[in-house]
Amino acid sequence: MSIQPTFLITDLLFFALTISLIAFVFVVRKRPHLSRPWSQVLKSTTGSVSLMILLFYYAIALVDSVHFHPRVAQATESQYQYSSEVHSLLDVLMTPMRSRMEKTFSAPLATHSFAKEMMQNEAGQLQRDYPRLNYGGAHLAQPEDQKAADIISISLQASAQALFYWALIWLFMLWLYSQRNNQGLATLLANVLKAKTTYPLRAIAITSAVLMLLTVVSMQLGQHYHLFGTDKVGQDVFYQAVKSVRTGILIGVLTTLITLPLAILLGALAGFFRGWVDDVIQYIYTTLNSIPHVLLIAAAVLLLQVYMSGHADDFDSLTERADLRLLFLCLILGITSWTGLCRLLRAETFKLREMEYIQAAEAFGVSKFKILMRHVMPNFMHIVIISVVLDFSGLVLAEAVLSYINIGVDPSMNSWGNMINQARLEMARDPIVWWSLSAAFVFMFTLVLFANLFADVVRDALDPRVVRGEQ
Amino acid sequence: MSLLIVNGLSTEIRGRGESNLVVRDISFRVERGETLALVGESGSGKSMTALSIARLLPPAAQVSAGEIKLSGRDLMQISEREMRDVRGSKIAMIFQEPMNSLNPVLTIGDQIAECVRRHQSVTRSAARQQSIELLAAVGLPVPQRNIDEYPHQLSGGMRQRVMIAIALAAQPDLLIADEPTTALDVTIQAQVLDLLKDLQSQFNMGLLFITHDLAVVKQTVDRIAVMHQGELVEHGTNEAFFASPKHAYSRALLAAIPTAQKRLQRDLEQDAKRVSAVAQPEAEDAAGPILSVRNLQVHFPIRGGVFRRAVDYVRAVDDVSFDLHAGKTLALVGESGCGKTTVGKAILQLLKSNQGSVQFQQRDLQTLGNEDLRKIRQDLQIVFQDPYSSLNPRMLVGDILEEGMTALAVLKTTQDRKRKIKLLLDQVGLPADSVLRYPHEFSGGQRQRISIARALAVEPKLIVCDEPTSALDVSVQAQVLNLLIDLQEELGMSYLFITHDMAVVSYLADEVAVMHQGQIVEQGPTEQILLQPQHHYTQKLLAAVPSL
Repeated sequence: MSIQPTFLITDLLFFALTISLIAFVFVVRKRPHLSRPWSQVLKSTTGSVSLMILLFYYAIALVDSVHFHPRVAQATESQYQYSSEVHSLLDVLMTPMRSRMEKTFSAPLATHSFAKEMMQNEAGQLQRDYPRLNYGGAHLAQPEDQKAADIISISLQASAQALFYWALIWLFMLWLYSQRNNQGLATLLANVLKAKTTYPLRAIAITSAVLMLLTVVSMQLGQHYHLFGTDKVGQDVFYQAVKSVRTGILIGVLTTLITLPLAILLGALAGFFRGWVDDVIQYIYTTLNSIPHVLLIAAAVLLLQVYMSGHADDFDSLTERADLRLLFLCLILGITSWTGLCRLLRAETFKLREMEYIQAAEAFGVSKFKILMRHVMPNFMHIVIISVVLDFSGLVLAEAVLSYINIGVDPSMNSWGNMINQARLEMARDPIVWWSLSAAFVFMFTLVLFANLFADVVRDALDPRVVRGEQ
Repeated sequence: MSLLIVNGLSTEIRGRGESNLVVRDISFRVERGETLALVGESGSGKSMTALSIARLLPPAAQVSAGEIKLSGRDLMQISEREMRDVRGSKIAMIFQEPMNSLNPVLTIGDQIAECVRRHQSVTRSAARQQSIELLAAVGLPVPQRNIDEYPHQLSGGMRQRVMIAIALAAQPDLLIADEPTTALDVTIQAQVLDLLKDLQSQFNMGLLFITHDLAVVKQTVDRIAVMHQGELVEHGTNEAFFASPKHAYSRALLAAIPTAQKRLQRDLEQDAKRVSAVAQPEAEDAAGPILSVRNLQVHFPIRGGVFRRAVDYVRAVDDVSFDLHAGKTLALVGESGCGKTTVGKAILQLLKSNQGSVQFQQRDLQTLGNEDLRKIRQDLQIVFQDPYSSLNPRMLVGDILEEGMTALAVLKTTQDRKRKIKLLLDQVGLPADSVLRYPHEFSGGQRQRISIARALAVEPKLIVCDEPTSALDVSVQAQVLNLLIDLQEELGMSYLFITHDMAVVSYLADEVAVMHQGQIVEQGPTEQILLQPQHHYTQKLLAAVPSL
């Protein structure tokens, strides 16, 4: 074997989440009244486009969650030596961008370094000038003249490739679809072009074309250039930004998974039973709220660091340590951030409790637990969805703030927070180093924007009271 | 010249791509000092007509044709700025909900004076003086004190009077009253109607009175215009209309109002049926009442102080006793806040009572343990007032109907339950495909049918009906009442019918108990109570009911 697979804790959680999501899809597909709102989501252009983009992000995170130790050298016939470094599938796909380190800053698509250096010219004299980059545009003999043409030709080739494969895949899928529904391929194509299909196939096709173009072009350009430049230690910024996707999604998703059960359960219990149950729960969250969250998080993360340095042997690699720290950060963020939602849900349950359908259920002798599950919780789910999405973006941002005071994710781990944190000093340089910040911003912005749009559509679809337009 | 001329008015609501005509080509006039009633059920376009006249339509709606002239001035042609002056000074409006129409953080005086000073240039103190006079004119008990009070300190009827005072502050030529008494109790309704009539003749205004209640109309107005699905189907003087309604819809509307005479007719039909059928066994009656309530008291604590101790109690139900026999209907009548709903909930053990006993089939419900209570719940069900909040919006109708059967283990297998649900939907007159639909897809009357089907699912012996028809239109109300009566004949249940509507009482109750401030003041067979009321409160209640 040329690799030795390894599973980090967050990987396992991520896979478990993926499996349960798939299981959820299968369950929903079988029940007509459950699948109705979701097909509503897919039928809306915004819904299916944002879902595609979210899935794209999710796929990047998933590919980045397949970890292994690569083999370094063969020691004996039967024994392999494995590197102590942990790589992911994404690292393999982006190998040149990962391994090609420059000395320091370089602008996006640059061929020369951003900082002047003493060097010898052809005449043997020492002079200060911008040196050529080790890798960025290294294949060009005359970078000043050839660069633009080279970039355009690579991009065009890549675009042509991307569009070719895209057209191939779509034609094949449409052909399959037309075979299954006994519909002529030509009429189906015409329908797609006129956006007359049940699902917004045209929008989906366009989105997939854009995603495919961006992916292929950036990967191809990345072979020869640094698409988003390099950072202070010469690492490719585009690579960093893509690697940060996993961190961002994990922090958003795992923290939410910790927050939700606490908030929903405690909020519903407090609102429904009132009396001493309410008192106890209120006490807990008021206490928790009165401790500054940053303090709590700092204490927890520092404790973990002390533990980890005391038990250095328990961790095979730096990555594993960073991973545990990420998990712990999610945990402590989750514990500190359920109170707001809990309070909202408690108030909503107060209101719902007085609804007559709950009294009707009581008159039937339905158990308290069932009333909570069937009558209370489904009716405040819209609040949960809205606040989850708002929190999701908040959490990604919180990560950035925490990284700033060094209690966020491990500095060795790629994250948008770390990127922004580093960019803080770069912004003060003259001329300004803007690409780290912009790259992190663009990636984060896209994720948060489409998560918001998606949640909007889902909320409308899940609410049976919203009258839908096409009726 | 007429005060208001509406000529060929059409109003449309534009949805996505399509427009919906809610008012279709209607024409009418209102003279000075005259009252015109615009009558119709919800959705008939009567409120839209009023809003069109005041040019206060919601953004999606617009007048598509016709002209509206006020004292010869075409309101459709003038600018929004001029229209603002017309509103208030020439046209004033009163709305249905007195709770929502007043600003809760301003005193009554501030709100009236604001209106006075907007239309007349007077000093602050003069405006205040005028406000007090207006409050006196609308009959507030102590205007000098009331003027400095906030809306929450006044009762619903008083708030509606304040609204009228504000409308009058500008001395309008035309007053549009949109269901001004619907949210009020009968006794207060009578007072407000009298007041409106007095003020109208005093100020010589034209009054456009919008209502769904024909009984109210008969006593108040000069002419009647009936609207149905956006069209004006009948238009005539009060006497002519009630003497011989011409249009089929007007006749249907009149026929839908429950009255004692109609009940007698029904009884006669039933007697005829009974005679032809085998004589009904009356053995159950011998076994005594199915429900017997003795000295029931429910108190709500008022909490105060540091430890939230109960410092005082609101005696919501104070010493109530009555009996209900199997297969009979007992109506519990009273105005809002008299404790009648609390009685219903206390009987179902949804509320804890403080004292007294509730005997159901000779078993005291209050001493039963949880398990026994669950068993007995099968026989005791409730239908609520509001068809919108009594059905979980996120559950399918099928699941709603099934819930009780599952919880009480009435039918064990899924097939049995499915069959029962089908039967129930058939019984209450809903299509079988309702099972996979959500409650919001149904109208108010249909939703109330679902509520009734839900209660019927466990085959109860007693159903507490808590104002099941007060949120519905008259014609729908008639359908639901008839459904309840038919089900009673078919299944032999007893009803405890909680209502404020005397007309409904006379239509279906066997016995009546009148509640006032937590106590039953009078009790007896329906005829006796309606024809020879003894207690002065019952007399007052009956006198306030507008009759046809």
